[in-house]
Amino acid sequence: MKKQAIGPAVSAILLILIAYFASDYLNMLDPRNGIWSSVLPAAHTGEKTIRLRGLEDEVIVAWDKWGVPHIYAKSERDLAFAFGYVQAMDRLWQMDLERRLAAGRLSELLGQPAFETDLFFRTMGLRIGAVRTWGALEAGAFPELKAALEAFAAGVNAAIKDMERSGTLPVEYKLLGVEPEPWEPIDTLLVDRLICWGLTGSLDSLYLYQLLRGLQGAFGDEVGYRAVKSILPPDRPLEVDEYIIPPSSSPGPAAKEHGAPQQPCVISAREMGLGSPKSLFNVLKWWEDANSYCSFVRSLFASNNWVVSGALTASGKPILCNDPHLALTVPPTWYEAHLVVLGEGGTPLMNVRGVAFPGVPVIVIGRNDRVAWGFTNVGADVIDFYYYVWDEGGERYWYGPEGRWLTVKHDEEIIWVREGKKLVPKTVVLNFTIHGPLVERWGVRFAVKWLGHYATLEAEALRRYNWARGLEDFMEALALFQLPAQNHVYADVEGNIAWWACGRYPNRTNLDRSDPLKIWLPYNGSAGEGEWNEEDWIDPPDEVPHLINPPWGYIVTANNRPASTADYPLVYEIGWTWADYYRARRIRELIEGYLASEWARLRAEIMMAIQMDVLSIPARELVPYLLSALKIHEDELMALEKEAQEELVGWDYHMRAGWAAPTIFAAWLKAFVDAVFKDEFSKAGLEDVRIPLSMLEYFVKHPEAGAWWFDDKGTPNVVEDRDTIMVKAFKQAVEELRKLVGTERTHPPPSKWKWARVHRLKADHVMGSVLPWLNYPRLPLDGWGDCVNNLGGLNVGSGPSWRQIVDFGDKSYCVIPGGQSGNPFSPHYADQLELWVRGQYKAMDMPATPDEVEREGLWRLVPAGGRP
Amino acid sequence: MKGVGSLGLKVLLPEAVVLFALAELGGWPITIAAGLLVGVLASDWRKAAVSGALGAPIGWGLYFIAYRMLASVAFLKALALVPSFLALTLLFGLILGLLSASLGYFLTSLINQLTARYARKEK
Repeated sequence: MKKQAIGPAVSAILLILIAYFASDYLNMLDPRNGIWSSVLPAAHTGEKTIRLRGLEDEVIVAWDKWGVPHIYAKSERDLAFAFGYVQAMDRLWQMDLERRLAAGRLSELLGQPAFETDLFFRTMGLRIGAVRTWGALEAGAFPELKAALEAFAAGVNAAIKDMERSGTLPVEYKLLGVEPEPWEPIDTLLVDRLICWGLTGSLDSLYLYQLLRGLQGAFGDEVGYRAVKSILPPDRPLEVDEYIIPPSSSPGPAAKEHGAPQQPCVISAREMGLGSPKSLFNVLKWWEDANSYCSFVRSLFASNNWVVSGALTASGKPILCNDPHLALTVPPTWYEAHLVVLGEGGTPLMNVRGVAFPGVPVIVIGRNDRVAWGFTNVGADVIDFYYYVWDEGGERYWYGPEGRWLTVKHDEEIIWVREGKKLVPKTVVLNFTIHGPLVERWGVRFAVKWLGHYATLEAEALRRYNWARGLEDFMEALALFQLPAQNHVYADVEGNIAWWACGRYPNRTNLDRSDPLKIWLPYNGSAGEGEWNEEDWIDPPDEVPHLINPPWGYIVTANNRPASTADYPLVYEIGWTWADYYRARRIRELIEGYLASEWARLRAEIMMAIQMDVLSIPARELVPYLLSALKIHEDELMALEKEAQEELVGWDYHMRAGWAAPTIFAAWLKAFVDAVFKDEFSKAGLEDVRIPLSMLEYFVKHPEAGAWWFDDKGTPNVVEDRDTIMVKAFKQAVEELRKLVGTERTHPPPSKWKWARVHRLKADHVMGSVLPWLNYPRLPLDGWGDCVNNLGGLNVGSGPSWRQIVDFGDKSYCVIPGGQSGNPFSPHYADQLELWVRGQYKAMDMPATPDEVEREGLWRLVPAGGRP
Repeated sequence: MKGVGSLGLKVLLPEAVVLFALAELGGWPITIAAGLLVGVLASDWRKAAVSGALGAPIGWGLYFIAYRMLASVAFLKALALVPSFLALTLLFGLILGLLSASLGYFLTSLINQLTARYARKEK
């Protein structure tokens, strides 16, 4: 009998072992419910009728050949419902990830690795602003927006139910073995808050403090202060800067402070009770690591937009262009859609096309039949840091304005962390001062006050842009766009063009403005320094820098400085970390060049060429100096270095994938920056060199201004000059490239060091490190940082996340880096990627009826009766 | 129960294919039940094992045929992206079918022997 029992026992044991240990794989590979079933909803081909509870009337969704939904509804509410439904069908995982990230609930999906990120976002209090904004809507503000958010949520939830029923939830859920929660209206506001954080949650004040403190510690207060002012002058010299409003007069008084000012030291970072630069490193690293999770919304200080008046275009109508430079991710940052609300007789009441962040029910950047708009990040300074005088117990801080000790408030929260199939609770304590969340780790203690902690109304502003019929409507809506401050360029069918550095900016009180650095550094919270005057903001549209129909006929913004202090005296209040001038100037050069050429009139094709332009102004400005230095030091060059030098001679400064010169230039520039600054930064205990490249360019052109930096502090008996350092960096760059491009056996000559070998796309899925098949292919790319086609770094993880060209008198065009669908099996997962790489576009049509859509599928969404 | 422990491969294999395909509607754990049933119906262990080992992958394969017909482009893209996944899925089907059908057969045999022994004791 015992013998007979062996068979069943062995079979049963093996079966149990497999079911236990391989259950995750079996769930994933299950033919009916695993990832395979995700092929069914991958393409939206054919025609089908979908019955949905909660719809009030029929909605038609026509899918075009790029997987872009053209949604035709009879009410705004149904439109939002349908938009939620189709977004979730294509991007549910991404939406879920974003809301969880903002709420500090990512560990529930990704486990312990996401815990610190959750703790960070909870500490920063992103949820606070979302809750306050939702509270304002519940109190009766903007009922149309509230209705749209609720309808959108209902649409998302209808999609979740349908996918659960049919076993077609996104593959990521199947891979992780988790399920989505219902979408709440506040989740959209959380996504909004995350975007705001990505674009304004800046560390720059802390870096500035760290830099000042470090350099003062190493070189003394006065030298350190001058050094900081020389690389971060309040006004960069105009030859290396470009304002959105061309300076109408000589630069303001502060502009004379560039270089190393000969004034006594007025700021000592050591007096600030913020902790040592070293202790700040951990906090800054924590901050950066957490932000890396929200990379898909993090602006890397780059985006371009410009608008040209009809007087300068072939069509006689304005052309508006925009390419926001965000992280290149899988799926892409944006979801494209065409949304139509039909009125009586089928005439469109609203007809808008563009892109939305997944989770947002309105078009964020785009156009309707009357107006178009585009954004670049202003780089607004709407986040402040406060340090305090603490009592001995460390629980109370002195608050001067009230003349008393205040006690830190504590909130206990639970972060649920996935461990296998279980969720394990971890209790965390969040602390707050009168200013906001208190960051209290690694011996550093400071409070954070961010505009995003307030109720802000940009969602309503965007909703109104979708409906705007002209300049007046648009300007009314602008008043509600508070966060994140964006350079809005605007054009309309009437021929108007305009720009606003639109956003709400704090009107800080009790602040010594004798030196702009004092506005930008952390504040003494105990002294009531830098309090926000919450009764009196700097508000759009009239109080922010702007231009309406400028006589010269075009406006260019590329995260550059809005205006001089003469043209806009509050410029230091709204921001200070403006991007280098390169992209803005190059766009202006190209526009002026085309206007002066045989083309004479601008058209969409020219705008495409401008968006794809890869001339590097840093190369154009610096390489002649490098070549000259190499010539002077010719005797010191080895054969390989001479060959590399030859590649740069005659180069036209375009960063093209097939050329070797860009590789050599990029490697040299990195080595040069390090060679100039690293010695001082290292002495100051700073790890990274972060300086505006334009100031390095200024030093190269005016070596006397940069003499202190050019001198290598590691060689006390020698004073190095610009040329010596340039050549030293060149030698180092050639050596590094020889190792990077070559192997142990092969040593290709510099002519083979093609840019394409090292400069490649790195657009990854959040799970792409484990499952690389989810990532986009590593395609070679033209371009680089500071080119108009801004594709910085070697593994290119950021760049134009959407290219849009709207011509009100002719065809409009657009493209996204990837595809519409988040489903890896969809034909629209990456079908626009090749277009995007090659600088090609697809039509940005806005057909008034579904029949006019060149479609591959059609959904008829019909009410199933009753509300859910 | 007619057919218990009596079916040959010609009948058992098609039955197994249908059973595994239907059971898969409820997900892979239910296919274990289908395998047990195949084992119960088999006349010997080898027939159970072969029917389970072939029936499950073939039954699951019907889903792939359906996907190929219903979403051709997406299915081919999936195959191109993760070619090993199809083989892995079928391998898992084979193992589950083999073990569950074997278990079904062995359990049936054991119960039959226990019943027979009990009957002999009773006599």
